[in-house]
Amino acid sequence: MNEVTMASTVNSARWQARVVHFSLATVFLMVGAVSAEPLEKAKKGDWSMWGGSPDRNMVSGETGIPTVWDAKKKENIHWAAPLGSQSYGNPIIVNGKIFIGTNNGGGFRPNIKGDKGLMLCLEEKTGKMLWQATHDKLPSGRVNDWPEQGICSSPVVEGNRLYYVSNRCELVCADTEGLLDGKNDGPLENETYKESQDGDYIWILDMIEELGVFPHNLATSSPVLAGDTLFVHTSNGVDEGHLNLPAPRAPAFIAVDKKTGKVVWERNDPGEHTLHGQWSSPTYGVIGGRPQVIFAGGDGWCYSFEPKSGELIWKYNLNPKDAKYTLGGKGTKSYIIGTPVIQNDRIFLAVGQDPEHGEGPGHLHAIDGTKTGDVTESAKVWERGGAEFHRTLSTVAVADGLVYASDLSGFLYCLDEKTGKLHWKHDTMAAIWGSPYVVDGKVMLGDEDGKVVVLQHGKEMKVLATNELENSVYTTPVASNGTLYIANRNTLFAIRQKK
Amino acid sequence: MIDGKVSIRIDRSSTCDAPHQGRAMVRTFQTFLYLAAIVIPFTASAAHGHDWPFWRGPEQTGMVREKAVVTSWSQQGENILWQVPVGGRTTPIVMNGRVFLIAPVGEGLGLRERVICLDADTGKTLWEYSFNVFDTDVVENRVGWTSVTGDFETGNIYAHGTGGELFCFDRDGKLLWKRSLREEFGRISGYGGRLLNPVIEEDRVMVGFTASGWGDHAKPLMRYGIFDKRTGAVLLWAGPGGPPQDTTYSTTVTAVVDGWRTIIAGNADGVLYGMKARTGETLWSYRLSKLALNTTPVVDGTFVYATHGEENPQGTLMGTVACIDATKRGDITESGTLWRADGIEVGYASPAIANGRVYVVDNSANLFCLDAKGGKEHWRHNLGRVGKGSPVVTSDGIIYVGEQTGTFHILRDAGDKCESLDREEFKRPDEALVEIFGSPAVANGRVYFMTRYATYCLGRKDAQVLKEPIPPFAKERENPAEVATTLQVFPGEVSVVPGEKTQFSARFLDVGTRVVAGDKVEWSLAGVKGQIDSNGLYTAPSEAAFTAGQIVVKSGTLEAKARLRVCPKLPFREDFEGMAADSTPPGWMGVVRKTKIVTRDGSKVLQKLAEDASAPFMRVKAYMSPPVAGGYTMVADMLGTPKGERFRPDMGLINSRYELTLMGTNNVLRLESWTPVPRLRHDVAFEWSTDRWYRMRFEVKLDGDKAHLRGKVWPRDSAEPAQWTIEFVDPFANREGSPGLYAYSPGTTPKSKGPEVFFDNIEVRPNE
Repeated sequence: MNEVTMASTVNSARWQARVVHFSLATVFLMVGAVSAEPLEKAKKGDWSMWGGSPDRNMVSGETGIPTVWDAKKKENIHWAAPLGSQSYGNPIIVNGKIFIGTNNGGGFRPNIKGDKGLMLCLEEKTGKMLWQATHDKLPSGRVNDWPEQGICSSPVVEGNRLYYVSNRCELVCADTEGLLDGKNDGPLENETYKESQDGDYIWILDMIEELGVFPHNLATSSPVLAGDTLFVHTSNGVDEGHLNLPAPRAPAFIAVDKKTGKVVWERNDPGEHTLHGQWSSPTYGVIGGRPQVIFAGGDGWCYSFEPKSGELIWKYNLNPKDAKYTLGGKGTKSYIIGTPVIQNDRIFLAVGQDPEHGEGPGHLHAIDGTKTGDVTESAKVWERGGAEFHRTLSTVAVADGLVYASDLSGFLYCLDEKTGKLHWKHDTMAAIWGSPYVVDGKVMLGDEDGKVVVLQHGKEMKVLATNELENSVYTTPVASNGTLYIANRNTLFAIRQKK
Repeated sequence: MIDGKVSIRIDRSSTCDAPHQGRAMVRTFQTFLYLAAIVIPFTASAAHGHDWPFWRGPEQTGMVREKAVVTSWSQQGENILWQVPVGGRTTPIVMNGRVFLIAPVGEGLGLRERVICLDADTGKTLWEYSFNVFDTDVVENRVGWTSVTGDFETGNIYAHGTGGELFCFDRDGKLLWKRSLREEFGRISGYGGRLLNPVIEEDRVMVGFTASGWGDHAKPLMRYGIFDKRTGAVLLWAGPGGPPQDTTYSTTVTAVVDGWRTIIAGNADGVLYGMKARTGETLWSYRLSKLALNTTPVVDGTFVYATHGEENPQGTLMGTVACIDATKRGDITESGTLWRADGIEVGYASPAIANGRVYVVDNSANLFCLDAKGGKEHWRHNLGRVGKGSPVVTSDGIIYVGEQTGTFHILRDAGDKCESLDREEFKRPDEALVEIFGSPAVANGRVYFMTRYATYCLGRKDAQVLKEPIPPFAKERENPAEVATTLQVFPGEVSVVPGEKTQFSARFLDVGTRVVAGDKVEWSLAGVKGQIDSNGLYTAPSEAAFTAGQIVVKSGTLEAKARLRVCPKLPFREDFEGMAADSTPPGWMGVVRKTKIVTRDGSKVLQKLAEDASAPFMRVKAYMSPPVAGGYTMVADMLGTPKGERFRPDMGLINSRYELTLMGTNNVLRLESWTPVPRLRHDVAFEWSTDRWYRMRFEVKLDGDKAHLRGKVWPRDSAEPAQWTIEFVDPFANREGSPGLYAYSPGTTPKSKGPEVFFDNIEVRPNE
């Protein structure tokens, strides 16, 4: 299996043990199509990528995670690490280090001034900043690289390498030690910033220059890794006029050799049907015994490809047939921002739009991933949409036969995994950009008002706590090694039960 | 208020309530009323009373000096005086018994924008003026996001349209004048739909916009165009800021602060500027944010309250509410801060000030009540999810405010807490969101507001409206006139045709911007050809050639400049042979740093550069002149070069606000207007090659309300085909427009240049 291959390439013994453990769990989850996986068996330990595993399921098997905390009174706050002024990236915790994208508002390196995209490396124990990878803003401005939004991509970390997409629409491979280890690992050695607390890039794939990509507003995709191959969205999209696609021949989805940064295959299935941008992230899994990489497109379609060749396995249209896209958000057709989640041979995914375009009708689908061709009709297990589910940026969490999904309008839904039937919904009364997260018998969700609501995991709705983080939470909680991490825009909180 | 006493008075006539624009003539009568301080209830009628001529009310503060009449209503009919199916995003204005709105209208080819005048008592449409939207990135559902502005002195109505036209109507809807901010001054609308409202100040109307114009206005900057409110003539330009960070809708406000007649403007560079109202000179600057400012500040005496929702200059908290001492001078970011509440993100909705309290709605729709002195938070109240509309507060502390996702609230400021009196949630059978972007207008006890689908007038028939007098506009300093420190020239900018004469005039102002006597002046020309005599009379050269520059007037050490360009009348031909290599065509919009004259294939041509990867440089719309009457034909040669396998340029012509373009990404000839919607789009397959000259002919023929559009393209080295390649009829003609060239170089990157375009042999002439 790919996961095992992936693990065997890792150097650190400690890391290796952990990955094998986690990979086996993942494999088990992927092939175990029969019954709902109990939460206790979900992934634990390090959290090495967006979603914690290639299936992207926002579920953790960690225990002892607090329900209540208070940022102001420092109750259950193990540490609080400053970030920039806007942070959309999610923390990745591997081997004693935390990686998180943000902007340069924090001014960690006093000599590096102005608007930049940062990938911060913090010490897991203390939150202390170890090093930062700094990416200048693109000179082309907001249409390609939105001011002050920093790096939104969450890295995937394997061994001593991290892979992420910079604000400059580059796929970056960097050394997890940065330049702190005193070695500038190559082949790339001409980094712009070269002091000890700077990033050490191994290779960079400039998707604008090499692939002709025109990223719309910001390249945000979080890569996924299978064996030696990285998969990532390019964020190719429309120009500042929003209707014209300047680079319809540039790829939307790519597979890249993790060792060299060379493109293995590229696809531009959304092509001229790209509505706005492509801000989703790919998902990898073995479905019906067949390895698949799943990409959600800027055209509202979900695509599955054969990971080695890039050949299409199936595609599925998430928008209704008669849906119409209208610039500015008034229409009924949407693209996909959330990440596909694989559970029990099914893909859970919903459509959404740029929050700037406001709320509107959405569609959440459960898709059978075992079919081939255009499976829009044949693979639909269930759908919830229109007035029942609104546009979303969020990714779902699937646990114990329940699907938790949230929408931009502020609702958290608990649905039956098999039928889509609603068990309950909770109104946070605030815009939701992050995703629900299931851990330790609880489901958590952050909102734009800076609150994190904690509900009981289960078919009965019960609000356990509403915790105030004071500043908008646009990210998703992450549990790792007994600690809960939540980033609001300017602070990463490590939350741990006081003993 | 005089002596701090709250006085309530009866309304007698509409003129006695005129807000500050016409304040001088009614001051005596008002003073009498203040002294009388009679409390007499008044039966509501829109024909009288406190009007709402500016989107934030008569005092530009979001406060209405009335006791609230409406404290509850329902969509089923309670306290609805009328409702009309006019939807959009504007904030209504109310003047002289009439309500004025700007809104989108129609669908498909009929999708346009309109200014509507309704009877304030009945909602009946009294007049309506529809116009086309063109050459903007603003999309359909953001059309009509400005508000119109009323002028008490003349009764005129001013509107800033999405396509960039600035209109002046009389009260009965007669168009008195208009300017095309896009084609004449290079307005950049952006995609967000954020545009500024016109503002009346004395005999001027002022509107700010980000622009890249011709000549020395090519550098992108947020400029404030100040026009004669009666004629539309350009009086002067103010451009105090640095590089624009975004488009904005921070409408300027006017005030007399500490004796200085001031305009206060939130700029696209993140700085709030106080400027002398009659000259545009900067009095002070206050850096609020790293990014553009969108909210409209409020002024109370010498205090300015301003907000934003982006990065602060320092720290990682976003947003602030700041109280600024506007008597300071220079960069007052430090010295002028009286208090700040950092971390409250008020990026879209503008503050209100009433009864010693500041009311702000943050981006997540939390309404905060802060003490005007010191900024202490009295309370906060969650309205819903997204805060875009601004609150209006009555003198008895009733707050009216809409929330974007479709709720309208009536609240009471109960001192240490907020009481919800009424919360109406808009729902539609089709579940479409009934968004509320605009703010309420409150006048004569009535509450006017607009949702995406309708405009409402809330009120109670025969209600008694208790009103307080509006304090007079503060007085200017009264010390005697001083020595002249500023020289001004009028008009400040003009476009003329060959042989045309223009009379310029100069005047002197003292430091307080009062007109004073001055010495003799001397006139000269800078850059532009032609002649100017000793009395300021300019005569343009008679030959049909483009020339542009400045009229310079000097007196001792004082100097002033007006911008002037000469554009040939139709028919004209431009083959660039008379222009210097590496120069740009004089007086053309959008050509500086984006194009240059080069020699190719043995002739001088205009090259669209593809070296700068930033969006404004990848695209050029080169307008050759101000708008001319429709009914003309353009012919031009054009050639595009490729970049690798993935990129080819787009290139074409603009005639009367229609664009005919050879698309590079797919082999089509495209006819369109208002690209991002598009209102009109017609494609015809057309195979074309890079590195080959083509000739394009584009004719727009007016026929009643319609326009017949026809175009053809053929290789330059072959004979012109008899047949038209593309034809289309627009039922709603663009009736005028500037002739222009269009080119787009996608695939230009920071590391390598993109596809280029070359133009030659341009002809513009009346249709045969």
